[in-house]
Amino acid sequence: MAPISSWSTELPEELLEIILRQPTDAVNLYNYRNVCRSWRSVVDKVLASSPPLLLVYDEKGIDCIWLFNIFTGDSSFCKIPRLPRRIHSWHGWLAMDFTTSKNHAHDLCLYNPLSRARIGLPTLMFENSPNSRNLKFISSISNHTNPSSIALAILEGQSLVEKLMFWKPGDEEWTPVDTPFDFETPFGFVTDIIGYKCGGFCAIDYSGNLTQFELSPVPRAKQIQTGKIYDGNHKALCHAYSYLVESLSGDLLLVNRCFFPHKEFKIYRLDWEKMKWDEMRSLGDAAIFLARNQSVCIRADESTAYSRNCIYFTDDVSLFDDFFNMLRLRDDFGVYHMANKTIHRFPCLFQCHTGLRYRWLSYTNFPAIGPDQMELLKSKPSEERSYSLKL
Amino acid sequence: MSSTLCCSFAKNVTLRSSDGQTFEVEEAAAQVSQTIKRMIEDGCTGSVIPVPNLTGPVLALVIEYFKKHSPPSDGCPTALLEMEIKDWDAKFVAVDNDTLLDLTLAAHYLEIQGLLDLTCHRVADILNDNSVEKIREIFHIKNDFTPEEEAEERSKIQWAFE
Repeated sequence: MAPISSWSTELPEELLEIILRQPTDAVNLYNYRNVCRSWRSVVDKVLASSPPLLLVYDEKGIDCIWLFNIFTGDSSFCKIPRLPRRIHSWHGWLAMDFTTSKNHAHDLCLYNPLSRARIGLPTLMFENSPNSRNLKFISSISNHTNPSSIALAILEGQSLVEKLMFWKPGDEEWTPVDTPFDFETPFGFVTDIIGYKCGGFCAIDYSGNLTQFELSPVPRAKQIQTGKIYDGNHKALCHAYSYLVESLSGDLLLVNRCFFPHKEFKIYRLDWEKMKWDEMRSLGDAAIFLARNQSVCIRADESTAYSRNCIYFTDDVSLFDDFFNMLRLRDDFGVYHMANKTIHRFPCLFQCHTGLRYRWLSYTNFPAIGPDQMELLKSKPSEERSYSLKL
Repeated sequence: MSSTLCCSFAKNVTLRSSDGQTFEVEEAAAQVSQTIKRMIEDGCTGSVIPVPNLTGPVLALVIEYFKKHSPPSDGCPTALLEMEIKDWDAKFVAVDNDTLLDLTLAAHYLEIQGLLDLTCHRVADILNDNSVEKIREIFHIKNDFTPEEEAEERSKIQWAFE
């Protein structure tokens, strides 16, 4: 039999697609991007229609994270080189906080569990000890295909003073930016921040105030006066939780998860000309995966496991725990159907306990890494020292 | 080369590979392939059916698969028979990589769903846990990324490696 000289050129793309759609480890699939051009384009196609994975990790201390496909029940796990105190995710990157109770510094690092790339970030220093600090991170990468800067919202201490910090490559430290948010009031906290319109960020607080941030030439914040969504001065803290999402067409969407009087989700689109929020009755062909730190809007059709006009959510409302010990809704993830306003909860995929945290890990727009770097990264020692976060 | 005309009562068809080898097989068995089934329905049964994408040895293997998977003449397959077929399938795809790839292409071209599932699953198993370099070697794939492209990929997250 004549040997096949180059399988990739003889292999029809649809056949390669069938092969690459076989259940496999997410890390392996990501690896196949580096085989050759045709493989890369097929892997990207497969990844683009793959649902975001539910990333589960145990805050109490296991050195791996689980990746669940909630639609198939398939799971895989990624070893992480050193156990962080907290993990957050943005568009494929995990933000890991390696703070120990012994020091006052927060060692921060970005880690891509699929490519194993890591990016050191400047250490955050605080005057008081981490144990007395009630730290939260709400964070975002601007322009995730070509990430250029990172925003962190940090809640410090019992005084509930919040800071917004920004970092871009080359900076030796985080730059705090003065914000028009009134952090002294209970409604002044940032609930979500997203990278929006290349290089900038948008943040929203509990009161529904929207602020735009530009980092160049100098960091500055601009509060955007938009028409109020709610009647009255403030929505009650427990009644709704807000997320920002960029729509498929690049619109800024506000998704409110409401708890009272009805458990429902409402979506608003910002009309930049009239500066008002228009309620959307349908998402059309889009599906939204909702999570603090990273919500994604992706196209859905008959071939995708997820359905159009639906919102998939995780239990991150329980992150309220972090400051208020209320609204404890463990293992609360499911799907909200916009069409008939019903919630369907997913069955419990794993034994729950309070240490478990969930995030969506989206495949969309992963930063790519060439084969050289893959090897380079693999050959690096994974000891603690390689995490020394020095720029 | 002998071209056997098939008689309708014998229900045999003749398949010819790219290198001119001919194989006689029961029509019912050959219809495991949707492609061949369509050709038979279109009235190609009177002559030799060309299978230009497959070499003789591969076609011979595919015909083995046809025979094992042809619908049983005496009704439904028993559970025992299904288990036996499953075992046989596993052994059938435990071949060298080149043959496996040929079988995968054949299953795709001839639209043999069962064989396609079987081979794709086996190929995916081989891909798992192999490095990119090893995958290229196993499947004879040339790294066609130019140094510029690799550099571009690198520059996208250059700050990751500072």
